[in-house]
Amino acid sequence: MNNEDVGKPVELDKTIHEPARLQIMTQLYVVEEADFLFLMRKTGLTWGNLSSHMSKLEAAGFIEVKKEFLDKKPHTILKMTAVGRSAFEDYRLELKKVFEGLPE
Amino acid sequence: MNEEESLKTIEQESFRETREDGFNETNFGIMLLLLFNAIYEKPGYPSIFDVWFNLIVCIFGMLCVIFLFQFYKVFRNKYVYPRIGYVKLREYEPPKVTFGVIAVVILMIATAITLIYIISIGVVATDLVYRWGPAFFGLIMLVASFYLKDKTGQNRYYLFGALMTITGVAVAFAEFISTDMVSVIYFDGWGIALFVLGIVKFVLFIRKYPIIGTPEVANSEQ
Repeated sequence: MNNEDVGKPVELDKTIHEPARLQIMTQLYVVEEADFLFLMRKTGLTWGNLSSHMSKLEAAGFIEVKKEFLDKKPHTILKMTAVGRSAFEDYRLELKKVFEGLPE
Repeated sequence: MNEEESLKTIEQESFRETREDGFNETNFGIMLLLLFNAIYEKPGYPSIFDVWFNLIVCIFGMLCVIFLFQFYKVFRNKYVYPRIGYVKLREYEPPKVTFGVIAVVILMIATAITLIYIISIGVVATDLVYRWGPAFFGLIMLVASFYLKDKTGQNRYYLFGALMTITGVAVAFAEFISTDMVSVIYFDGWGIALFVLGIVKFVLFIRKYPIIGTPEVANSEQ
């Protein structure tokens, strides 16, 4: 943390800061898009939990939700938007500032 | 591990999972078995396949390549996505076309044309090309193994590249193998090995990941 930043409150995005949503955002950050099942497996969240966090991220404009049919079965695909990508990168920078200068 | 490395690890895990179904190995095995037998047909030498068979194989191989993506899509929709879910990996932007990139491409084309010309006028004996072709191919695979190691984070890909190179050199030095058979043995051997490996991986994949029913599917079926 720079000297000028000392005393300034750290502005972490609360939508991303929630652990489950952070997991979803991290998974979506490294891929182009993924479906519900893939994210359920990767995050260990239940369908209901994932669905509720997905709605919050979608409302914030961080992810885009695409619904389609695959073999006549509903298939939900999630994709991080440009806004989400930039918000996630800002979040990483802010978090880095928090831990900067701490002894190992 | 810093967070940059952690993100890389998560990306590598996703890439690994997309390859767990064994389709890539099976497909590469079939390609080696089909295409190289056709390409390596050499008049005057005994071949394990006749010309007609090679022609059919060549056409079939081309059709395989053309319809591969469509087949792979259907295959994954049916067997892969219901088990591990769907993920599309990030596509990185190709390098910008600069003078350096153009120079490298021109150099590569010029080298290929020169090599083909040298071989065709007999400066380099055709037998030498047939004998050392597998070793050269092995070297290409060694370069590919570096890419796969980077994408998956698995060191086993180095072993794959090294084995393809070593076996290529070994068959080239094996005096007891006639020149026309060197490529056949190498490509058929690797083709069969990769095909079997792909099938084994697919069976293990099916056993490891049962089909997961999500409520969204259950709701739609009510």
